[in-house]
Amino acid sequence: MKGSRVWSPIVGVVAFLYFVVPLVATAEFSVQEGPSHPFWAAYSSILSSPQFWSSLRLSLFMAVSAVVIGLVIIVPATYWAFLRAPRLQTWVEFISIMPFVVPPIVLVLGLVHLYGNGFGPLSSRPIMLMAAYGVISMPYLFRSVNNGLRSMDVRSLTEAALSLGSSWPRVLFQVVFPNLRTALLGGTFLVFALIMGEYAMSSMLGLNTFGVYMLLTGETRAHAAAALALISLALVWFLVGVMQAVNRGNVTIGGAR
Amino acid sequence: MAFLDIKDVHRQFGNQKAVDGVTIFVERGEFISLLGPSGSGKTTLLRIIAGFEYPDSGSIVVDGEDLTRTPPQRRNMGMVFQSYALFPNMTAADNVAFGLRTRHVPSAQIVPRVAELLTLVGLSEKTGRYPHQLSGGEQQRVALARALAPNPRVLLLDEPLSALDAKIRVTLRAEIRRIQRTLGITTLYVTHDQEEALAMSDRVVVFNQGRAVQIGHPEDIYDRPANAFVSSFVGSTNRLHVQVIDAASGTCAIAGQTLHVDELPAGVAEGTLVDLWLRPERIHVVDPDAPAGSNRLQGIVEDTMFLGASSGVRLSIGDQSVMVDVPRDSNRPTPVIGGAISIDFSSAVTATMGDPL
Amino acid sequence: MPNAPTATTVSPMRRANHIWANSVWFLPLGIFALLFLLLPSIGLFIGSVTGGPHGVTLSYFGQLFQNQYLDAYKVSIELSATTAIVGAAAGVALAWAVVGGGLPGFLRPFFLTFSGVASNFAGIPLAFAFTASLGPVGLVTLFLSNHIGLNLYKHGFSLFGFTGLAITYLYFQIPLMVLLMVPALDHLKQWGEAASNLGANSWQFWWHIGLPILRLPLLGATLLLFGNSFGAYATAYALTSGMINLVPIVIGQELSGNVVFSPNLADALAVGMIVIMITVFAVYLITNRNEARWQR
Ligand SMILES: Nc1ncnc2c1ncn2[C@@H]1O[C@H](COP(=O)(O)OP(=O)(O)O)[C@@H](O)[C@H]1O
Ligand SMILES: [Mg+2]
Repeated sequence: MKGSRVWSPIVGVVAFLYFVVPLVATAEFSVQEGPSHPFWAAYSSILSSPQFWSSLRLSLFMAVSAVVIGLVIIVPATYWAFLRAPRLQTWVEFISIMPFVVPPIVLVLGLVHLYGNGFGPLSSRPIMLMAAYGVISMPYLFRSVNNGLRSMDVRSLTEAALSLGSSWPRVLFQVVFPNLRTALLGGTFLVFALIMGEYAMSSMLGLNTFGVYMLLTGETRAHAAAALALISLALVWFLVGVMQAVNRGNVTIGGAR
Repeated sequence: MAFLDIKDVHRQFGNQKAVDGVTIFVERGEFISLLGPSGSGKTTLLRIIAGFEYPDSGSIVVDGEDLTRTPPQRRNMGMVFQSYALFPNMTAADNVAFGLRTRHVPSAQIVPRVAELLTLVGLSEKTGRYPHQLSGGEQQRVALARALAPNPRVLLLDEPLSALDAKIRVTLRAEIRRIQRTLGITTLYVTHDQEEALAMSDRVVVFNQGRAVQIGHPEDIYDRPANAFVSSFVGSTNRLHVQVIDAASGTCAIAGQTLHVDELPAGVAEGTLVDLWLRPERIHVVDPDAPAGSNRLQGIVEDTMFLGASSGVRLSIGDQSVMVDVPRDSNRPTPVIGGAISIDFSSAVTATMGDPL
Repeated sequence: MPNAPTATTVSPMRRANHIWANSVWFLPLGIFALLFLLLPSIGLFIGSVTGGPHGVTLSYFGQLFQNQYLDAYKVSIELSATTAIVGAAAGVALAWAVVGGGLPGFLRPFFLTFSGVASNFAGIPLAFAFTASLGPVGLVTLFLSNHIGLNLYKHGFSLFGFTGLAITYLYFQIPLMVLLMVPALDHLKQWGEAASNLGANSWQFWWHIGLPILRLPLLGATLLLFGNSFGAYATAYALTSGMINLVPIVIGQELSGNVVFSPNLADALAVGMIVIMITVFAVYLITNRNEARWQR
């Protein structure tokens, strides 16, 4: 198209400015703690803060739990629907993408109102958060598992294993999971990226996750907040980078907006 | 009682009768092909034998043992899939070893057994390769070795060659047959390729719409097709509509010429239409004034085509067309398009009730 | 089977076994979704219609029409619609610049990777990045007023109001649109080549080919963008310190106990959000299905 040659560079430059300038500004801001401080002051104060590390650990733990929960509920259902109950496939997919229509804040509200006033272990806030993160991870994990199953001819592989005398656990652990690994990695890293910066749900449940720590820091220290924004960006870049390297073209909506 | 008895197996998906009462008795060491068009129920029957599907009714008996409800893990049947279905996360050797590991064979015995099988399929050099590092043909060899490794009682192959290109298909089918003979393993081989079925098998089962419409040796199937379907599905064939003139003597007419048929369908009346099924290579082009053989018809050459070993001639008799294979012979003039031509064929032809075209 | 002579037919026992063996695989998902997704949602619904003096009541839904809450829905919908439409337009323009060959090829992987990152870069850190750039003492604000003489905040701009929020949301909306549209545009490009080969100019191409083909994908992607910002909480909360009147923020106030009002009202607000999200998603699914049928 001839026209696109003319305006494409303009669009490109404007987009580039819009996306890069805030990052450059943030970077600049983060190194201007003041004349009496070295330029890395904001970073060193963050990295030496115990709350930074403990919140990061908590978020990491929550992300791992969410992925484990997500896999335990999604993989068997998706696999079996794929293999033996094609009519249930739509249902599994429907349930797995339902979290899209329940915004995070609405989900916590529902959980807190239902289980908040004593419901055994379910009324524990960390467990509620874990469950909520498990819920958000469902659509992403479903998509990776589904894509993975589609690309590996799971039916024939399962039947081959069975006809060779394999038990069901062996089929799952030696055939299905190893071959799903790459596909799962993509979804897993995406879920990590969403959960590592999540704020709404963890703050409502009163847990000091990385997102909550960032907000608390930002309320008092503007330069440290800028530094944190960059650290968080680096984290997301790493996680999404791995995800994209693993499976191309996964698009995300929802999560930690 | 044979080695593998498939007794009156039925399987229905919704309203679709995928397998509709199939009975086959397979002798020990026999190589049987299940041949039929796509959708005729071959795969479903094979999967029932392997235990991936259960029949609605009927039974699968191997060596006197009823396996109809036995889960696939405990049937000891080797299966080879069209898509190879090699485990992508394992090397060729690990794939072959898989069935031995599930049976807890000591690893000291696994290694030599794997080597033996990979040598048998001609892949002793590539034991450490992953499936994606192997060509399609090599992958299917590994899959064959993997299926054979645990010494299965029956080997089942579901269109194992149809994803491969023509040349490899021919070499590999000879090789499968060689290996099958060496091991003497009872084998069921599903294919929609009639040439493959005829070339490889001790017996062929022709499938149509969930039924085994004919079971027999390849020559029987080819020369004495049981019905119109087998005749048109196996090999290429001409279908001639002729009108019965005299049922008792087998005299029929086509475009004003008469011919004789040894065996007309039972109970045809004069004036009814019957179909004759004629293989192109069973029709001979003759000199118009040569002494008449069994049946002599005159036609007009419509087209000729070069087929390599022979030429094909399409001629018209009235408003019907007939294909004839003519061996290439430099002494004989090639038929000229638009010229008259005489053909001759035996009166021992298959005739069926003609359905209106 | 009526016509089964040597019948080994399926016994009821076996059928029961079979159903049990099947359901084991679905139980974890079923139980989890029931406990943490369905029951809480149903709980919200029940909460929103009970609690009044007469048992079942619609008074909480009635209260949604009071100015404050109606306004929250209005602002939420306006913000989502604005960022969805602007984001969609800008995203398509950028995606076409990347796909259509108007930009050097080596930029494509860069823009795609960056879109993946930026569409996931949201919430608190995004708010910080924009505060550092466009806040009252942000570097861009200072640069504009010191070097160009344009004082944004004197001209009524505020990062912490509707416009500022919209500009910030676009940082994840545009990249999401790029990711959603690149596959469709890649397809379109082949037709673009065919069309220019037949002598069509840009306008003719877009009018006769581009728009008809992209209409439904565009609509679907725009709806996804709408949903994407409709439920967003963290970015808005961090930027405005919870001062903007959006539905998620109002719900958050009830949850964190900052403002005392009835939990049942919060439930009603939440049910309202779910209803809107379901509507948006349903339209998306319907248009997407039609598209699939139409492409066949
Ligand atoms: N799992 C199934 N569900 C529904 N219909 C099936 C299923 N498997 C096979 N069929 C149907 O049964 C018929 C026979 O299929 P198949 O055994 O695969 O034929 P073939 O292998 O000869 O091509 C086909 O019409 C097919 O659509
Ligand atoms: Mg088949």
